Amino acid sequence: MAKTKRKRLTLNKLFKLTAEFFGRKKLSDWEEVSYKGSDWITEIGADSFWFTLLDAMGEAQVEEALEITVEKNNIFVIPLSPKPKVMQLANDLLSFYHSKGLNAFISDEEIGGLDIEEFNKVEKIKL
Amino acid sequence: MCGIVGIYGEQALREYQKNLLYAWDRLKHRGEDSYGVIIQKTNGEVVAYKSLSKEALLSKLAEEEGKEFTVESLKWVLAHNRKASVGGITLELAHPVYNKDEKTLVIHNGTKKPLAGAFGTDSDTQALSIIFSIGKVEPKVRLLDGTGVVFCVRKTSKDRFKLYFHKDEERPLVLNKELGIFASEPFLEGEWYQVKEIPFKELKDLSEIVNLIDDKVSESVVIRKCSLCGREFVGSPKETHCKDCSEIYYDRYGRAYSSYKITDTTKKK
Repeated sequence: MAKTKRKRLTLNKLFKLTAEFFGRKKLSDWEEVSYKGSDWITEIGADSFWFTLLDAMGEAQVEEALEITVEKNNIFVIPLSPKPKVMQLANDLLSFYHSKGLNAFISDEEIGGLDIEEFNKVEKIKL
Repeated sequence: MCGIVGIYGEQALREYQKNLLYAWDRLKHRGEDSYGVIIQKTNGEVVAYKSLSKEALLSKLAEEEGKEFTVESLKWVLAHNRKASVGGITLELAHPVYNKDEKTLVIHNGTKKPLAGAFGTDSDTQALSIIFSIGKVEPKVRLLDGTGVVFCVRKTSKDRFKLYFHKDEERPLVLNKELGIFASEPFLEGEWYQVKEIPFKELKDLSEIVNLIDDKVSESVVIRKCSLCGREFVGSPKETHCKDCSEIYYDRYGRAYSSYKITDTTKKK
C-alpha cells in the first residue's frame, strides 16, 4: 500500500495562511491588520507569532495579545489576556484553522496569569 | 491615565447603566484593565462593586437592581475605568481600592509610583487609602500632587461618611451641570466645562464637591467632528478642526493638507 506523506506544517506557512483570515494576500512581520473594528500588530519569532491589540492612539497593548505556535502539525492558539477582543480573535482564528482542515487547539485554562473565573468575578463591598 | 465619571443628576441616574456604557466606551483609551463603581443611596448607605470585566460588572449591577438598590434610590454613582500603571491587573487593585481596616474606598486617575514605595504598598491607590485613613490630618498638597483627580469615601461611624476630594493641575475633569455628570472627558453631546485645580478638601456630601467643581470651571468644550479629517475631537465650540489637523497648508491646486492625512477639501465641496 502506498504511503501518503503528510506535509509538515511550519510556523512560516501558518503565518502566510493566516493572511487569508484577515482578507490579505500576504502578511509580514510588524504589520497592522484589522479585525472586526480593532487594529492589531503582527510579530513573528522563531517558535511563535503574535497579534497584539493596538489602542486608539495606535500603541500596542502588550498584555492584550494572542500567541500562536505549531508543534508536530498541531496549532496552539494561546490568548494572553481574557479580554473579549482577544478571546474573540482566538475563537475565530480557531474556527478558521479548523475550516482549513488543520488540527488547532485553544488554551483556555489560564490566560495571561488570570483565570477566566477570576476575570469574571465581581467584588461587592458594603462600606 | 484612568477614567472617572460622576453621575448625580436625576435623569442621568435614571439612565446610569446607559451612561456608564457610553462613558466606558468613549473613555476606553483611558483604560480597560478593570472597572468599578461606588454608589450612595438616598438612605446614606454606600456600596461598591468592581471587576476586571466590564460585562460582568454591568450584569451584576442589573442583577442587584431591586435587591440592593433601586434606580430611584440612587443618590450618586462614581465610576472608574483603570489603566494599570502602578501594580498589576488584579481585582484587589481594581478601583475603588478598599481599605477594610479604615473603611475607605478610593478612586483616582493619576500615577504616583513613589507613593507605593514610600508606604510599602502594591499600588499608589493603596497608599492613598492609608493617607486618607489618617482622617483628621489634612494631607500635604505636595503628597497629593500627581495623583490626579482623587475621590475617597470614608465611613467614620455608623451611617456617617466623609468625602475627600483633590484635583491636581494636570489631570482633566469636565462638568456638565445640565446633565448632572462630571467626567475625565466629555462623553455625551452638550457643553462641558473644564475644571481648574482644586486642592484637598474634606466634605460631607457629593453635592458639596459638585458646588466646589462648579466654582472652579473655566472655558467650555464640546465633542465635535473635525471639518478636515472627519474624526471626533474635544475642543472649544469655536474650533473647527482637531489638533492633528491644526497645521494645514495648501498645494498649488488649492487642496488642503493636514499632518493627520491628506484631505482634498475641494473635491468634498
